[in-house]
Amino acid sequence: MKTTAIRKEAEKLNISKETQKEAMRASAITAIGPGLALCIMLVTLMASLGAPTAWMRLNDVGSGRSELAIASMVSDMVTAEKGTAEWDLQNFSYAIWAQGIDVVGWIVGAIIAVVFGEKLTKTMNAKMDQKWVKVLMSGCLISLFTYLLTNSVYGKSIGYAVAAILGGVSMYVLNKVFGKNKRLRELSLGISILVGTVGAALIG
Amino acid sequence: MFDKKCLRLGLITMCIAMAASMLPGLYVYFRYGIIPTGEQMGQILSMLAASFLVGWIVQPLTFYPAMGVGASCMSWTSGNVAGLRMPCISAGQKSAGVEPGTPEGNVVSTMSAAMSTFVVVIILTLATLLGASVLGVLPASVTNAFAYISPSVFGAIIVNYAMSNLKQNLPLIIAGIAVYIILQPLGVSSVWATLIVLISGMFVSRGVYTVQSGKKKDKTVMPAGDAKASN
Repeated sequence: MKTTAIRKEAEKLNISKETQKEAMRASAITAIGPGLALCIMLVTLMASLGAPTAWMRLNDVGSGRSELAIASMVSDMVTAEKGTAEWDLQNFSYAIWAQGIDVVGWIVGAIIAVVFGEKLTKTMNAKMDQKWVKVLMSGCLISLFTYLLTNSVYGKSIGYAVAAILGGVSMYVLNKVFGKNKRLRELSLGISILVGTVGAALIG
Repeated sequence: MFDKKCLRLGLITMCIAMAASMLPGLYVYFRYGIIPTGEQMGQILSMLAASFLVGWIVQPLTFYPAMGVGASCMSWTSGNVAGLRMPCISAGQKSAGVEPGTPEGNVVSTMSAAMSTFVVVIILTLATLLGASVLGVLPASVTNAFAYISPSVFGAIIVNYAMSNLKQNLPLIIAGIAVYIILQPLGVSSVWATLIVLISGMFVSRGVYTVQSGKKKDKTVMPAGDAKASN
């Protein structure tokens, strides 16, 4: 999407340039923590698939874990003798084909979602109460994050729960004490991630 | 109009991404002459379909309401949707003070998804160039701590949502946790569990909305009732 097109639309919707910058800064800061976590997966993938493929796979759709799983699943299909260069090459070829097909699967799913979702949203906005649509959309988002939170904590060691609690407490304090400070509001999620992660590493 | 533009460009870029994802396989074929046979390709397809087909279809639909067209196209091309794009989109929307699912929310989510993609590509490129040598130097205590990033992100986001509208959002959070805990012993897969939590959230949202709008109506009717009583 052209940056100018987004900016034009934002201006049309009365989202000031300053607000746009704030939103992008907040997003950039938030991306750092999870982005660094991906580096660990990158190193693991580099060991089995080499640096270029590992880099490509972590920058396209599909989690690092599923990429590794796919690579190990196809190794049973390799016909060459194990331990030879031929085996390595065959295994690599099958893995990258399987990963490529996986990418296609995700993208086809995404195409169905955006085409179907766009039509559904239009119909909802035209036929339903706008306030209710807003509540529904926000409800979907919160339910999604509730699932992601519970899934990242439930049945795991205490460290994960400590991280979630400290992240939450930190966000609460930042919102309560520094809620009116714009810069801190942008940084609040980044700071909360840091507090939660470091705290859990020390306590858990 | 904006959504249509996003959809058109998104479809083009996603088709390019699909074609590009096949290039490494084709390179190995043309360079070394190695490619899975037709039968092996069928095996790969069936193996992938058995493992991921439901996820391919259901997950993008599940995340769509929160992301909108632009962010969906970008996020499902660049990956790491749940653990990375969603928190970034949420942070962007919170910072801009816009609601998800609204035209404003969709514009900000598109910007946020784009920005997070730039940042992560830079981080991963640097990590690839520096290689395992630098990351290998980090002590285990540091690398192990990376596992705590996801719960910290989600804990912070949930508290943020709870604080923004406690009456509306707390029932959703409690219901989501309860449904998850009920589903766990039943062995429901993560894809279906996400969808069920989301659908239960829709019903809870409807319930809360109905109760709240009922209360508001009562309040607006009250003065007239009071007036009659005083007459």
